[in-house]
Amino acid sequence: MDKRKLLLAEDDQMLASLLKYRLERDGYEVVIEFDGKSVKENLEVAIPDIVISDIMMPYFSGIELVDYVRNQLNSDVPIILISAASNDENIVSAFEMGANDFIAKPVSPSELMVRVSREIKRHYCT
Amino acid sequence: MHITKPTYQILTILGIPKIHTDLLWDLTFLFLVLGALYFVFVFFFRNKLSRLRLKTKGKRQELAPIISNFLFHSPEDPKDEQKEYVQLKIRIREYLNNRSFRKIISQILFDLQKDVAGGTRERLFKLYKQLELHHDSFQKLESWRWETVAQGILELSEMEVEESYQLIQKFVNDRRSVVRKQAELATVGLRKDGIDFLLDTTRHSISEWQQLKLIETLGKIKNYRPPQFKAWLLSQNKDVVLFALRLIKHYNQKGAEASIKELVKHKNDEIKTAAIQCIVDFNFVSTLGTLKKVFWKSSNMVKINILNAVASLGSAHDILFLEEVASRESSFIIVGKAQSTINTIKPETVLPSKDILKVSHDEGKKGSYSKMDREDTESNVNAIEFTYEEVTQSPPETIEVEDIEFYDAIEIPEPKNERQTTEPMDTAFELQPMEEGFENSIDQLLGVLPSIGEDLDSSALVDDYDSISELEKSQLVERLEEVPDERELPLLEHIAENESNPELRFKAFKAMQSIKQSVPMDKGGELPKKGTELPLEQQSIFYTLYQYASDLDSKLILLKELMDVGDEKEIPFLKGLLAVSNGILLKTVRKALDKLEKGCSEQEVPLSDEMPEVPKEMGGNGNTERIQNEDGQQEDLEDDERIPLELLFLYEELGIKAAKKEGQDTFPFDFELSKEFFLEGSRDKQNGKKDHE
Repeated sequence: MDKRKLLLAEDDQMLASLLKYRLERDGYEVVIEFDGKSVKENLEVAIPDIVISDIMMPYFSGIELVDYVRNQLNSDVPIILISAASNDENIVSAFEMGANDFIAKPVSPSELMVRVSREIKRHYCT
Repeated sequence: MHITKPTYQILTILGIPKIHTDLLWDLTFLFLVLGALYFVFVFFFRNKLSRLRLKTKGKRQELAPIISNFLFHSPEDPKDEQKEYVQLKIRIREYLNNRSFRKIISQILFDLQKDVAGGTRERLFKLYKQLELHHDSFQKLESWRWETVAQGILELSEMEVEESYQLIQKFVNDRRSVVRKQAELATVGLRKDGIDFLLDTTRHSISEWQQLKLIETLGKIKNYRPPQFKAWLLSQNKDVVLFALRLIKHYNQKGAEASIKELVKHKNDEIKTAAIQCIVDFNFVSTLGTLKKVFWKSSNMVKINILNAVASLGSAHDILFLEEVASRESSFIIVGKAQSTINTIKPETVLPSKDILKVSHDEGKKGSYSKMDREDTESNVNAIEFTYEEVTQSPPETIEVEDIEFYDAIEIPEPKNERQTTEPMDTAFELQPMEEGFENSIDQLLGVLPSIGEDLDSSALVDDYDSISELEKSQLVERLEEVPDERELPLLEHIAENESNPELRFKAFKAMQSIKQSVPMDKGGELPKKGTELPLEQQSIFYTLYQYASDLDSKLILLKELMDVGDEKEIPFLKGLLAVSNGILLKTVRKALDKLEKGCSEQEVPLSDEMPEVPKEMGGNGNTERIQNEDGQQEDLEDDERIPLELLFLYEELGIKAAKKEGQDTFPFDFELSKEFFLEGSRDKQNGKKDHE
């Protein structure tokens, strides 16, 4: 069975590396991007099965990324947003733009795994 | 011996110095070398720092998968992964010998603990200890630099190294505030009993912000069971007491009622206020008595807090206390707060009294209030539907109604003993005779003096005054001072002569003065003579306008108008201007002054020659310059060139026309006549003669 492709957009290198390690252990093929511009370029080439993105990123925020994917690329790929600034405004605008889920930092890698698998099941297995 | 001459000689100050050109070249070379050295130094260190940064980044990238492997390793992993884990362990041991690597690993773990949660975080703390990185933090505690010590304490507390508790404890009373605050947070966060130790031993103040941070730290401790913080209400450190009160409130420890009650008596206002706040939050009604006792010895801020507490916890029984506060307190803030507290407990008990006009009503008589009130009354009355009813009881002689507008519009029937039947209509408004007690209570509420009315009995008032309390006396005199009435003069005189309180005596005297000043005007007495209030030059209407004229043009326009419409009143003003004007303005002023003076002299000449004689039977004595007024007093026409109003009607009867003067017909309500009246009269006579001829 092919591995699910996952794009992880996170500017914190250590956290990205840690999450990548954890996701790869669970059978995902993970591509890490450290800023919004690279994420955009990557998405223009190929759309992954799921996107996990930090909201606060250089050049291109997570919310802008959701807007870009939904309106420019017209893709319904599941997007999970992560942010340390878990204020209502951020969360509401993320969901309004079309994000599928939101996780506040500090992130529990186990919780992230559950949410990723749930989104994939919801999107691809129904 | 040959003495070399200096390179330049100071011959003159302005001379050009002779500088050796070789010296200039030497200096140029020196500065070029220094500049080059500076740039080399900058480039060297910049490169060194960027190389170090790159190296660190490379090491972090190298260490990241190793740390991830350690964090997510499980004994149930496949054999390949177990092998890899063992190899990484050997590799990391080599790395740990390198001090810079230790620093980087330590930093990575410290950064990661902020971003991860759950089991991963727990494993990360374990890894930190397994790699013995906490020893580096212990070493930092021994540093003489405060920032290193604070960093060490922070690392140990964030990585939850419980062994460090004993080491950190000793910094709780450190003289360096940053270290001390970090130690306080670490002490509280590392062990559940850390807060006990802190409250027991701290000698320094704990800021509000620090208190909040400590409470936040306590909130992060798993399964934390707070101690009974009332134990620290006895502390000698006021900040500990305040923090204990905050903790009691935070953890809702209601068992500390007696201790908090005692703290209300504390000499420190902050503690008092915090204790009162606790009392309000916990609804300790039984402490109200203590609060009332403490009230009189407290500062204004504490008093306000106590009144707030009474408003929250009090009942109708506390209104007496609040009334006492309102009457005894000198601070208007406290008085206002006490009154609002009364209204909180019993709404609408105290009504607004400040700047409220006292409305007294004389039965059966109208006109005791202003025209505006009358209009309002009429408009309101139109909207009222009257009720006619059977009146079986005689109405009271005086009725005090809060809304006087109604009262004025309603005709109170004359007292009749016989039964009177009238047509019943809509029962929208009923006016029933008030009972005496009810009337008195309304009077008391409104602060209306019952004896101030048309039938004021001054002796009764004086007797009443002597029998009332000091407070009532004070209120009465204040009211008399605010709204003086000539009918109250006997009472005021009595107060001014017999009152023991000098303040009240003075107020009474002031009220008497104001009454005496207002009486002649009210009674139509003599008007104050001209010139007694304003200087002569300021009596001109143009004086004020001239003050506002900012430029020459507007001043000239004003002067031109003055020439056209001005009279002799403007002469002093123009004379004053002469002294301060110049140029074209001075010329215009002179011109205006000449014109006005000429005009006045022209008017005065016929006045003495042709002014008709005032008949002697009308008070005249034949002298045109002086006439006699109603009271037989002689008025000088120079001062007031007018005749009394009564004469106007007589002159009308006699067929003499009223005087008309240019510029005066803008004041239609001026019923007094100028001296031109006489001129007109004489001219008419002359014209009549000519026509007749």
